[in-house]
Amino acid sequence: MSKAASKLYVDGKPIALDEEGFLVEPGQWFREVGEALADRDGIRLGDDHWWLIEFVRDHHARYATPPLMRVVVAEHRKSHPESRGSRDLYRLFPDGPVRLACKYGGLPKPEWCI
Amino acid sequence: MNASRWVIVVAATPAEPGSREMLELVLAAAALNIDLAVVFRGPGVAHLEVERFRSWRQLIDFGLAEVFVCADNRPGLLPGGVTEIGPEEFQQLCNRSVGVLTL
Repeated sequence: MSKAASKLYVDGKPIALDEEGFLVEPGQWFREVGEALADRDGIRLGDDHWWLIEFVRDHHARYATPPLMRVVVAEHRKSHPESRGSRDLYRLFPDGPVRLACKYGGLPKPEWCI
Repeated sequence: MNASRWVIVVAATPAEPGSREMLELVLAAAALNIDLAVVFRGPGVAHLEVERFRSWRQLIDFGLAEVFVCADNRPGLLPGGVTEIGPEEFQQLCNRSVGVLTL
């Protein structure tokens, strides 16, 4: 488990973060924590961001791994018929859709994102 | 059976509880849209145990690979979506593939 490098206070609760801003204790996550983490990175989370975060959280709960980008793109197309695939997902999170969905969703930092 | 398919044979036991090294190799291939068949054989059948198979299940649920087992020591109840094949079918699968990678 990572050591806390900093703390984020959300609703008065201290949330321990590692050096890259991921939660040290995934159990500390709640929706407002995700919003606060994204806000620190200059991102205001909207419905599309939350679709991705919730999909990645659900995948992690089922399979104990983050989803492949290929899987996210296919599922995004199913639920968003107008989707342009990875372009739309990178527009949401330019620094890596799955990695940042893990970060804002309170999941461990993925060892790989493919 | 597809002539552009790779066969990945999982023939080793999981390194340790929670280890996903072999799955990660398979996922890396799946990420490249490679047509894959994954076959559990011999000691590799241990991956089919319910909790260990949890992460492998994404291959089936998202159509990333066809999953087979070819072993005498397979569990009594196979996870859904895993197809049992005999030694001859396994050989055919390998013969018709582009290549076979054994983990």
